[in-house]
Amino acid sequence: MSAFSDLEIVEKALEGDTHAFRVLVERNQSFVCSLAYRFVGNASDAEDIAQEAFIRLWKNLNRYRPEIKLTTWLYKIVTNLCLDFLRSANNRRARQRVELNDHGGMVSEWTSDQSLLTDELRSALEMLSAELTPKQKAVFVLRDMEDLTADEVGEILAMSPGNVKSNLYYARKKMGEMITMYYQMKKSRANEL
Amino acid sequence: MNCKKAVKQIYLYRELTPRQREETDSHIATCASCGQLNARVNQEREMMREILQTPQTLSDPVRFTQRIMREVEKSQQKKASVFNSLSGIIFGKPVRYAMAALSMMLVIAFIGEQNRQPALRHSVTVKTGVDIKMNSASFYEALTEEEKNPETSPSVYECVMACLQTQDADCSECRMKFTNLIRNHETI
Repeated sequence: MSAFSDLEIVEKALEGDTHAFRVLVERNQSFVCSLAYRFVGNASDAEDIAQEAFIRLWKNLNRYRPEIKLTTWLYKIVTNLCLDFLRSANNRRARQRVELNDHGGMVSEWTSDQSLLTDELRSALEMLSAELTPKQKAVFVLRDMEDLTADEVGEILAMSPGNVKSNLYYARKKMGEMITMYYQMKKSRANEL
Repeated sequence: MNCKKAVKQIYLYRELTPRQREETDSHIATCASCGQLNARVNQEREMMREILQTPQTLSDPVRFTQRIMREVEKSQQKKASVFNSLSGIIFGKPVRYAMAALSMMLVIAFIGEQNRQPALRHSVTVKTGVDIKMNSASFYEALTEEEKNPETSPSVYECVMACLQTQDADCSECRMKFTNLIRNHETI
């Protein structure tokens, strides 16, 4: 089954073959979880969103169009779920309680000493990116973190190229300013000690 | 190019066309503050990429897959049970009995209708001064009456058939009988 293309597996799953769908989940779970994590900055929320994304994929499999890559469709599903999550008032509080070094069920693939420093920075960046609007965050994650093309970002978010650029501009500017601020704070704290 | 435009293009450098990049590059080369900003933005970009591109993996991928597959199977069972209950309603005993009763009623109604009106024997239009459709209810009633009293001879039916064969359009017998029919049955 692992030799089959995504399209072939989707066709099998459409016939009710749940084993084929399991292969699809196993093949894409890492990328879906990473994507969700980049949006919400919390491992357990990211896992919940990833799970919901796969269930949504299963329920809407009959609407799958072969001309679109399965990953593009998954990007769309995950991004929409993450945007809903970020927009919901209840989860705004959850976004703010990003705990340093708390990765819940997820673990970094880095295990060296360098990971300690990177983990701290990552947590700080995740906290900072919580200051972006959901749209700004979406274009930032998809374009700068997932390395999708601007056209793909526009398609996934149903945004015009101009809208993508404008959101990207503000997101990058804000993130840059926040990183600078973060480093200045760290520096002054180090000087105080 | 002015600095305001250059600042925007520095942040959107990856999205620029080759020509726009050239314009931005030549501005950066001559403008110290924009050059500084460009260096800072590039540094920030690299830093973010390095930090945020670190792949995240699931601590327990098997459990994660199992959770999803449980939900998938549950939804499939639900779909199957909806189908079963729908088919239970469609093909269930009460509906089957109702259908049988309806069929019986239709059969009875059909037989009753057949008894009320004799089966069509001939469908011809006879010109006897007035157009008479021989498959009309009145004609059948007259025919039924005659069948009950076979001594009446010739019957209106026999007479019309005979006249049709001999092409007698002026048969006094037929006309008399049809006139009689017309008088008795306005429906002709």
